[in-house]
Amino acid sequence: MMTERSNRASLTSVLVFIISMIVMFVIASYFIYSGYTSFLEGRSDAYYQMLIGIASMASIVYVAVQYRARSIKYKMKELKVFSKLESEECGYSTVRDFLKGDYVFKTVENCPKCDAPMTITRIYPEKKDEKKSSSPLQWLAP
Amino acid sequence: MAPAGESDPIGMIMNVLWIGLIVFSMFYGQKIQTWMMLREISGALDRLTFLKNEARNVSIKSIKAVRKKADQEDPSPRVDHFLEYFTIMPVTLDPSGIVPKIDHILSLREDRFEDEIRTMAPEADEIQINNLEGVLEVSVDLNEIFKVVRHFYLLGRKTMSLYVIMQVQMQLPLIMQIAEAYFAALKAFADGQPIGDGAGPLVVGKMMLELEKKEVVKDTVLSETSIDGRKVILIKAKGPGSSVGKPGEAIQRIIEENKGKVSSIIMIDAAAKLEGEETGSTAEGIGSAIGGYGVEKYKIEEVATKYKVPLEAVVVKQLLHEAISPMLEEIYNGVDIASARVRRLIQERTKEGDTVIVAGIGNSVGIGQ
Repeated sequence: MMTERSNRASLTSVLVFIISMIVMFVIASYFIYSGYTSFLEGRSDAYYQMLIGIASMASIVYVAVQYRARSIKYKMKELKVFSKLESEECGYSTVRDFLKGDYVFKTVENCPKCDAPMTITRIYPEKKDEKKSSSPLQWLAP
Repeated sequence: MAPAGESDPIGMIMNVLWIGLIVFSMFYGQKIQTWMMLREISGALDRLTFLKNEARNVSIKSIKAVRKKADQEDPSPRVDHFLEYFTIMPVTLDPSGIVPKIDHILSLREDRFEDEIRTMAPEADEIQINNLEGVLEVSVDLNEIFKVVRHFYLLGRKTMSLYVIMQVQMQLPLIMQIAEAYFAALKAFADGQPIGDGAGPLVVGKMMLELEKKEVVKDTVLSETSIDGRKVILIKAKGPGSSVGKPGEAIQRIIEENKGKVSSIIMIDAAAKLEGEETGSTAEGIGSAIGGYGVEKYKIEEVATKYKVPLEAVVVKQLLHEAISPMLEEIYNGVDIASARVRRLIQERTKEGDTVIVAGIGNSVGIGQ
């Protein structure tokens, strides 16, 4: 019962939203067109009409963007993490993907150069692309 | 189509519509504003729902991963039950003597968490229990944030009061930042990766390598070494499991055992940076560099004041989300600088033959010793 009512309510709100958008779009288009023709005729109210038209159009874009932002679906993006291995004997270092059970100062496989055991000195995530994501959360991708 | 004017009927209608819209916004402007705010909160709520559900899934998956027998009971109902777990802090009407009460409640909480995890994953070792504790704590916190925001959203929708809605809408950016930071911590705890807050334990862990360690208090290890003729007592939370230990209690015990004959306490911790400051930059000052509820800080300050022991602090700066997500390379670079600063402080602020305590404060997840 509740679900039916809420479904009906959401359908009504979507319809109201679409109708309002269409009405606003018609008004905005009319004022822009009217402003343009008035401008060609050299009438003084051209700028006033243009202003109304552009303001209405901007409101439509803003509301539409807001509406779109609501319907974004989130999913989890895996963050790549690396382990840096170093040999104290020869100074050789290598980086590999993080493996479960790794921790800093853990002694792992032997060095391919000097055959001494290597130690994990750093476990760090891949550098995030600053341009791509300004969010501190790197795993969420819309 | 003719331009809008007095003689144009369409133009007249449009002008009337436009004026009508202005009049409508005069009376219903606040309602529209309320509606827009509710939509913003609703969007944030969607995101919070995703975060808390994902946290729950990670918790269940992590518990299942440490189980050895496949036919064990499904942990999901128990995790759901646990997500509603709460802690009631002591009464503050009479603040005198409140710290031991908070300490007691927090210890109880920690023990209860561990017991629950042991019940859900009996085969888990100490490191896995500590890491699962971190995962569950994050899940509980995310669930709590979600519930509070949902409460204000529903209350706002019910009352349509701008002031109720504004309370949460104005704080929404900060709330979301905290929620996202917690979420970033989730996988680090689940996989046992070091987090930014581990800067202090990393400095001390490096100094502890090859030294004999003993557990001085619960989840807190101690080593003794000699640097430039000074006896240096190193303290950090026991790693590589997720734990902050009880450094305050450890420092208090050591100073009492040494009858106050300690020349300096040097504490290394992660500190919140201000916008504009660089991640991994270091700074030093005086005082007890330790966060949390204040219980451990209280113990350190009490004993340091009693015996007039100087408190030196070295901090590695980072943002909140950096402090609880996998440790960035910039923070590792900061840790190297902090280590050098600690050595310089030992040389400059103490004399040969002195006893110095060096405590690495923070979470030791993914950091050994």
